[in-house]
Amino acid sequence: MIFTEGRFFVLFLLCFLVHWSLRGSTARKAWLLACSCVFYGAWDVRFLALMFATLTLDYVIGAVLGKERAPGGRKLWLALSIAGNLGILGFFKYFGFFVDSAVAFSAWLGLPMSARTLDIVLPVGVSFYTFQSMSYTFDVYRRELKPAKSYLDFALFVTFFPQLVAGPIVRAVDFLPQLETLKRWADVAARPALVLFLVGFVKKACIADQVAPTVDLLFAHPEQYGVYSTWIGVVLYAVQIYCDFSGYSDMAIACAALLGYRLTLNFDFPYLATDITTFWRRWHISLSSWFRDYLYIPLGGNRVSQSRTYSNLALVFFLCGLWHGAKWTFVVWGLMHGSYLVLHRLWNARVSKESALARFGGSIGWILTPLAVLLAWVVFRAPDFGAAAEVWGRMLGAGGEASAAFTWRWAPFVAVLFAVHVLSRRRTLAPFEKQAPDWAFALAYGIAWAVALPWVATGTTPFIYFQF
Amino acid sequence: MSLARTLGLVALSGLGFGLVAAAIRPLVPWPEEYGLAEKLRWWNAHADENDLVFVGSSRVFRAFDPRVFEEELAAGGTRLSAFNFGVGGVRPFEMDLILRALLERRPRKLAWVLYEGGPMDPRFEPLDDVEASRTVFWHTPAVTAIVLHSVARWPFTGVDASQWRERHAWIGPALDATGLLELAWRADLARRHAQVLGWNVTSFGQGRAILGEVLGEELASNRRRMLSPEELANGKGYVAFEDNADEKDAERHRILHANPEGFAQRVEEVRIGNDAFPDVETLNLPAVAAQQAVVRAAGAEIAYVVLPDRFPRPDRRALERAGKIETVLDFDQPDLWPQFFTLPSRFDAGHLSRAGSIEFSKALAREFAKLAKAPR
Repeated sequence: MIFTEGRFFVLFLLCFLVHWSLRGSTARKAWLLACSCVFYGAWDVRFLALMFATLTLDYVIGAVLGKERAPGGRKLWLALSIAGNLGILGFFKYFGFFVDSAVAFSAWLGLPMSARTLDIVLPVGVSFYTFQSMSYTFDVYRRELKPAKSYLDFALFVTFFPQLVAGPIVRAVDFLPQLETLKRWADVAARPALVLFLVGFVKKACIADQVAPTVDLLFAHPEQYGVYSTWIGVVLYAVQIYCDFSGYSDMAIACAALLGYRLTLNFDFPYLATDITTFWRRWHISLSSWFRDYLYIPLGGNRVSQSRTYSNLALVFFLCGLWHGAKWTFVVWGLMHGSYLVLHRLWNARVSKESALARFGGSIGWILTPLAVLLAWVVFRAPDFGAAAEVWGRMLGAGGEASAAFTWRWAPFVAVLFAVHVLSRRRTLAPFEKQAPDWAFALAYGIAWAVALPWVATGTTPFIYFQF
Repeated sequence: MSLARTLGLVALSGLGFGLVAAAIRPLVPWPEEYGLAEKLRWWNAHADENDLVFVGSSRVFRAFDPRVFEEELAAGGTRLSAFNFGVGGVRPFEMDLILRALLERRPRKLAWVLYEGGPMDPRFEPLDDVEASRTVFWHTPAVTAIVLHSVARWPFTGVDASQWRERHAWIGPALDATGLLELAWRADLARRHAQVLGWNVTSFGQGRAILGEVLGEELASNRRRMLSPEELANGKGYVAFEDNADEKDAERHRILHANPEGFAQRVEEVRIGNDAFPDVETLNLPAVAAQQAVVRAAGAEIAYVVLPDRFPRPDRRALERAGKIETVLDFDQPDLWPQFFTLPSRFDAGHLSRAGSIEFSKALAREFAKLAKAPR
């Protein structure tokens, strides 16, 4: 079940109405947990057990950590949580990848070997909920958070359906306190939530899914396209992945808000960033901050030597790439971004902020940053390195004759999207959203849906980030 | 905010949605698949030239040659102009919509509608693409109301029960045990049609088609155009299968002619099955009555025609016997029309070949001449 499906609307409406009609906090939380189980069970009911095993492990370890005083014992319990979570993630997501890679490496060394990999089905959202659950034990271990008071609260924190399968990755420290108070409808900012849901729906169903077939054509047969079509296809992929993922996040945040809960912001106009560091502060914020807080800073962050900082960055982005999927193309994507960040830091370290060179760098950052991001998206999307190399080559005008081409109309389409994106950052419509009379807002909202629905791409495309 | 005020705002939002959706819907073009929109455009430009139109599926498209039909009638002293409005893949519900669209044009000379019709089976067949723009398009409120009438009355068979139970394994056995399986099946069928109606009235996913229509462009998805304007002018809506069969059609042709015994078996099944009359109460009588009424309101007469097929089609004769329709010309009877149940007369098991269509158009002309001369 995905947010753009009719059955999700039915489930959400039912969930919403019952939620607000229940009087007690416990009853509401139990109801939300039940809805979350139905939502997740709609994919594969068997994986509910896996999810509950993960969260039960962390709940128990969190409770023990709350009482354990001995540093050695605390470390042991933390290690158990990490091993349990990464064990599940490793088995379901990376087992086949590591075995295949070992076999390939062995063959490369001239020592051919055979291995039997298991045909393992990847549970939806496993990367998200294991990271979310792990963050809880980290925070309890660091004494930044008290253990959850009830199993119900903790289970709802991990399974809360708006963010369950594709984030934002919510921190326990942000969410668990929200469960302690009884929500009041009067406190819900319904208008922004309704607008955000519609915006997310349009991004996913009307933009990302509309451009997806063109992107698929390019990456399936890159050798058929010339310079213009290749560039357009790559730009469209950047549009697709942004609209797909940020659209999902918008809908998740909106659904949670309508139920009285606040989720973390996940995207903040990343394509308008003028340097790569800012890009990563605005793209998939909940994941990048997770890696920052639970990996980069514990490794020493910026407080160690420059060379160590750079190698830490490379390691973090290696793992960030691997988090996205069990493929070497994702790893290379992560390493590319790691390299960009190292280069940016080197630049900042070597070039004085007041210098003409720094001003020049700042003025070309708005073109260099998206360009670097685009080049990395190629390997992220390509089925293999051969296809990625073909796309990069064709972007530079290399390769043979083009036998196919995309319509010129994609170029103005992208330009219009970009203009809308810029206007959205300026919040051009915010005054109407805030100040319009209720009747005008209600009428405009209905009209906006009627205008949006014809532009939905028919045939449901799953959210890209479900596979991660 | 009070509950009444909240409900009022929801209603206002719904009103805005409904009004704009209703304004957008007429902009959605008729689906082009199998040349449906193309034939409709032709009809709208030339409707006043025709005395007779034959509305139906690919069986009509491939079987009824208006020129042969006109010549045969002319030989008997009757002069009229006919048009073939057979379109591939049309189901009886869609045919109902097409019939109304043709008559909306108020053709001045039109005196006769030959109508294929058929049992209004509300089930989606396994191969139906429920999301196809064409299936969505014919789910207008009026046609969906007809469908829902069929949903309430269509016989619930053991095959339906087992298929539904299998698809809904989590609840099927429990419903079966409590005797609610048939109700659940009908409710589920109604829900699916209602969902498609929802897609239709909101023009769901039709933005590019609307844009293409506005810009006068052919969409990449409109791949199944069947006739050019020249072909429509020359053939009056008819083209023999031999003249534009695709690979799948050719494969069906090859299968039929490689297995004459199988075809003979089918013919025997048609012969036997023709005597198994269905219960007319299951045949959506209001829709059949409305079809006749709409044709007569346009100043024309309607005759139902059953074409030579690979299945028995006794439903229209059952309606005739029950007095629900006046005239049926049934050619799906191997004993009466053996010439249409031979291999040379067939392109594939369900469609006539060029030779078969010539023979059929002549036979239809002769039967029609009797009908036209009969006092009414």
